[in-house]
Amino acid sequence: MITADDHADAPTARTTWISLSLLGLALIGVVGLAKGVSPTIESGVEAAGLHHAVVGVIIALLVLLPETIAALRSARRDRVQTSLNLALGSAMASIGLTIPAVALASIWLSGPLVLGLGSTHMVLLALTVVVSSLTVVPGRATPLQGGVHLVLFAAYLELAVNP
Amino acid sequence: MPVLAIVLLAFTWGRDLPGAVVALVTVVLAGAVLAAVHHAEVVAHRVGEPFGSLVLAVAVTVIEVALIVALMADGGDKSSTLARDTVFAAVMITCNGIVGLCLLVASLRHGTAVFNPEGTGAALATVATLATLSLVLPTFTTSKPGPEFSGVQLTFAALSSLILYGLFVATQTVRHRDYFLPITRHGG
Repeated sequence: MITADDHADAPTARTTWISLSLLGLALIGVVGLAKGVSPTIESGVEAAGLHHAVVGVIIALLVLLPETIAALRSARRDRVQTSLNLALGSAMASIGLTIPAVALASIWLSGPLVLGLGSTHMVLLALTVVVSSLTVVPGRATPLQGGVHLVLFAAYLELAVNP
Repeated sequence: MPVLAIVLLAFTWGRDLPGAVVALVTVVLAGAVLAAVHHAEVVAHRVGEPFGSLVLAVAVTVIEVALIVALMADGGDKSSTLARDTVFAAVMITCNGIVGLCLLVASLRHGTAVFNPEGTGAALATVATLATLSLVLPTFTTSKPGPEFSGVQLTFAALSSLILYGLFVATQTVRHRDYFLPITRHGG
């Protein structure tokens, strides 16, 4: 199946470089502004009487919004592999680059570095791994698998609100 | 839009914001998100898959990591768990939220969602290994009390994370690129 998108001319090298640098700027803006609004989110979360962990989740959702939208657009165009590359690639980059960076930083920083998850999060992680394996192995998925993952995600959000 | 976001960021950095400015920041934030998606797609179109998704993932993470380290250097009572919470939130949002939404959208629109089990399975195995080594083991290790790694263990976790991530990127972009390309339906 060939879409109009596949036929469009590839952008020139100059356009690509401009886009790459604007992408960097836009992402710095997204991450920075997400932290900028965090005091407002914090006071909102406190006013609503919710647990403090909700703040971190909302900021993580904001920071990952570009990936989410890009992945959804690929899914609508029936390019699910690209969506999965984006999702799993982001998870992997997040762990694979953050852990070495904080390990290196902990040489200079004095405070403790707590990495171990609590028991409820550990259960969620284990369940996510099992369910994801079952989703991935057949190479095709129905709305059921999508629903199962979304329920797991809802459970994570619910635990953030009511730990 | 990206330039506007940066200018606004410079003005608002480290200040308490009144309500009207927060509204403005939210609008610019939304614009910056859309701009990022657009430019990522332009780059992806030029370099092709799977390099395109790699660019977006690495770019966001590098900026995120810079912020985590900066906030940890500032100190504060919450900074000791900041790295863990951020990474775990990212894993849950991507592996359940984004994956679930995309499978749902694609399967509702196109019957079923089809993808490469070889490439995706390898990616998932890497995520599971990375997450367990770095986020689960510290709770159970006995060299240091509490959910922390000792120095040697931390070095091992950091090195194995880097090696696994490097190996994955090499596999995805060079040796087995075809496992990570979108599937085209025949006769569809």
